Amino acid sequence: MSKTPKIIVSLTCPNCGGQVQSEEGESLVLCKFCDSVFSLTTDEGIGKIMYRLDVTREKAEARFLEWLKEGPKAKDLEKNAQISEAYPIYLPFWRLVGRGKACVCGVEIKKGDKDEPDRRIPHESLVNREYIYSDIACDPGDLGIAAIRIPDHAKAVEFDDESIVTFGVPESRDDAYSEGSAQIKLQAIKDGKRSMDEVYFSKAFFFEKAFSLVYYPFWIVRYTYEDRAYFAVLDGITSQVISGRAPGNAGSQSTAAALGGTLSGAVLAAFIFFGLALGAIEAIALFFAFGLIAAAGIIGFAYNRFRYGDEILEGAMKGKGLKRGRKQQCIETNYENTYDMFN
Amino acid sequence: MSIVLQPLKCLACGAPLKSKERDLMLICEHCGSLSLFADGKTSPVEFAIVKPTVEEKDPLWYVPFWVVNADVIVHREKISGGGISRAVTGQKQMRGTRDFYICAADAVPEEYARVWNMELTINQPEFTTIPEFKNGSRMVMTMEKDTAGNNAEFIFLRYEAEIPGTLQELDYDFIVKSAKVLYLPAYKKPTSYMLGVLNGK
Repeated sequence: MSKTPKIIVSLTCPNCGGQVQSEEGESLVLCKFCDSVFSLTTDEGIGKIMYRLDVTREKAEARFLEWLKEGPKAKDLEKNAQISEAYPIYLPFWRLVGRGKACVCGVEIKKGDKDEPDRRIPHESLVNREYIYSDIACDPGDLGIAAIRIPDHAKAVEFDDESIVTFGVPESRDDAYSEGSAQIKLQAIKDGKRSMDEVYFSKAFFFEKAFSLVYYPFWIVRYTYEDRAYFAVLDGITSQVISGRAPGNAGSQSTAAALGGTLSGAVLAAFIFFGLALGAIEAIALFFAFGLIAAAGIIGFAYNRFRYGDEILEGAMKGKGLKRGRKQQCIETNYENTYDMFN
Repeated sequence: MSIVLQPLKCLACGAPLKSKERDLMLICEHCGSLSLFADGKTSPVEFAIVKPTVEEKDPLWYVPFWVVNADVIVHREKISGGGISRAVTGQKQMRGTRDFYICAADAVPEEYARVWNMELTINQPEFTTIPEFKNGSRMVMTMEKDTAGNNAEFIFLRYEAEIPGTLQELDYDFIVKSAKVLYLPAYKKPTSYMLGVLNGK
């Protein structure tokens, strides 16, 4: 991500009636028509921003059908899945943008050889970066969404809670701010720690640029397959599938188990063969050990494909199943104007 | 949720304030007095304008700085190596009461602001002040007062980390006593900025 997207809200100038634009987090607002200067306040002490739902029902359903074909899902899923309902919903997220600065000091420990003691290499670092924190501000139930990444082309519109379906926000503004700023400071320290195994001193600061409650649109698509209920959540601006559940592919699972067992046996046999060919007892033992490790790796991979194979979990979904897709992190870094120092 | 736009007025004469730029230092068109926008309202602010000691043909700007006066008390510090370099260069420790300079204008690129902040904080220069923004323009101030204190503390940590040797431990108190605004002259060159004091560093 090249830079932090700016959220702009349009208001009406009380002096001349002209359109006044305010960027996220700004409390000083100017009218470009009459040059009047205003202090912007909200009755709840936090700016609320809503994004326009760009994805139509047709586009959401079409993307959903594409998603059914992706990954090791049940083979006949696209043919036999029945959409029971598809509806848009807005989920609230806390969004905190600001600069994290940290000073971190400590040591990296390099393991010594047999006769040499461990080497302790001192390090110090300064981190100075911009971070974007986002965190879901409601209980989304089993939807599997924890954070958002706002695309550059997203269009902010004036907040109107009567026109949307959304969830209540139980957490206070102050608690959310404390959590967000603490997370950003922790991230700055983590970024400064890098290769340090022991940290002796660390101090972090957070400099706020913007804090808001963002209402972001999603499409929820609920569907059934062989009398079981599943769902998918699509981004209402990009149409990307953010999270969801889907039945797994039984054929793919049994193939994984069979191939894993066969391959691991073959690899182990090959290593033993090479060991025997070399003759020495140490070589046999070494190749046997390598063979065992390689076989264990293959079995582990096959087992992972097999054990939760009855369900595919997309995004940040919790529970048992084969996890796919990318989980959106709560903290993103804007690497533009980064001023770090690592010694 | 309702959004309220409250018109801001001059503290000295009560006239509505006007501005073409988002400047936290608001000047009254009627009486010329400056006030600071903070916490959703205007308030009086201590400020001074510094006379340039370097003359250039380039456009002159008066750049706002927060000057944070703070006590630095270091209880314990451990630095690994670098002792000889520190002794040879005679690098001073940043201790006791001093002014920390924090560039408060977004228009100055960070690469210049960082250098200026450190140079001014290390050198603790004395300036001659002037009553008005003579032959130059006032640059927009974007940094809030609350932010300046933490920035000052980070400058102290930066200094400690940048001196020769590797900082390992630091136990200190950083107590902010006051903060004021100082407009320092700077020349905007085609591809760079030059401070109009400190011999143009």
